[in-house]
Amino acid sequence: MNEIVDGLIVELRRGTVSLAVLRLLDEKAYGYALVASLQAGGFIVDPSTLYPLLRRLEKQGLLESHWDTEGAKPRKYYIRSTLGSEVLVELMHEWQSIRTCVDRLL
Amino acid sequence: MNYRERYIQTVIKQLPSKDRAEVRLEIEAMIDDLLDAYENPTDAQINSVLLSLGHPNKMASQYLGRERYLIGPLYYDMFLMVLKIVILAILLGVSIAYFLNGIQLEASFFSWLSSYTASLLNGSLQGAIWVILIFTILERTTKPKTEAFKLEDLPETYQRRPISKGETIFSLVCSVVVLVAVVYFAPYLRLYFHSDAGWQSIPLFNLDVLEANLWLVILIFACGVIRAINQLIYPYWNPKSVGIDIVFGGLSLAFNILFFSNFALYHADFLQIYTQIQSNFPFDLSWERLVIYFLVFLTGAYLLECGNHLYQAYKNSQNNRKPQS
Repeated sequence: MNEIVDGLIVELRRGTVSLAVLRLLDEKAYGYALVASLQAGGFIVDPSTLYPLLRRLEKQGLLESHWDTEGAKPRKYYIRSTLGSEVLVELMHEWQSIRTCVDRLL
Repeated sequence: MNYRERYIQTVIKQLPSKDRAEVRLEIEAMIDDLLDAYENPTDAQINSVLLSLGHPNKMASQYLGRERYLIGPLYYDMFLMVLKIVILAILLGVSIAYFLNGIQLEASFFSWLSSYTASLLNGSLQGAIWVILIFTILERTTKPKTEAFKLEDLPETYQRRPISKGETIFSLVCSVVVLVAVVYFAPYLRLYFHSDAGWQSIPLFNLDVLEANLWLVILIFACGVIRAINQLIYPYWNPKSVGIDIVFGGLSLAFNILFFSNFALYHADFLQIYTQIQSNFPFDLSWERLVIYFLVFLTGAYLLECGNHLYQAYKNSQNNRKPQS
């Protein structure tokens, strides 16, 4: 049964990670800092899931990125694009609506 | 090469080459960030960080963001079915060719057996390669529609499959048998005649020319397989399935005409003997004429088939709820 529950939880969380990432990236941040911020908010995400997700969101034009090579080691910083902000508004609206519906049912 | 480099290599080699350099930097940055938890990371700690990233294949598929198939779930079952039929038909065809001619071979049983086994393997592999190639092209050229659709486009329901599977399988087996017959049986297709010197035989085909034209036979086989797959996808005739059938049937006919009308294909001795034999006939039936009759027959059969399928498609469009074969 645990496997079924785990599978359903993964499905339930998929998509909400993108929403959380878009929400957090109104200020620039690099991958691992985002993992830490998400964890601080109670959102446990593996770096191996988050880094490919950031890349996909960037390819979709929702994020912008640049490499910072000034520091001791190179880091890729991400920030939400204008399109990303517009999409975030839509997603937040949808999220509220889903939450209301689900709350009503539970 | 250390484990860190091996991990990164395993991930990036599965990605498109244009993305590799950037993803390598990203993974390196990710590993460096995870190693920040340790002051001077030991090999064991580096290994544990790599293990915490999960299987490199999983990470590669997350970077790709899609599943990769040669033949996807839409066609997979049909692919397996066609592959099994083609391979079984090839095994059968090769076996018939070998057993029918086994007696004539002067070689030892073991050399006959090794040649037979090699032909079985070679034939099955060639058939499998062609089926894989056709389905790979199908997979990449046809995408299942997921956008808006019309209810009329939904496939018809039927109690009995209008184009019977047996009929389709039979036509597929025929395509394979023609291929096998030409490839393995051609040296034994001979004209037997009695002369003063006793029974003699001469080959029908000029084997060098036949070998040079084998590509035409393979294309005829490929057209046959495509037509069979088309009938498996669309179990009744509609404008699209008839269109595909007419195009590939037409191509097959054109390849047949190109193949059989090449008179260099027929062995010179055979043509000479045939001319002598047919001079005794009360009517003119030269080899050229015979080939033309054969090609006219093939063309007529093709046109009749086209007409029949077009008519069935028309009837089906008129009577949407009761599809005809």
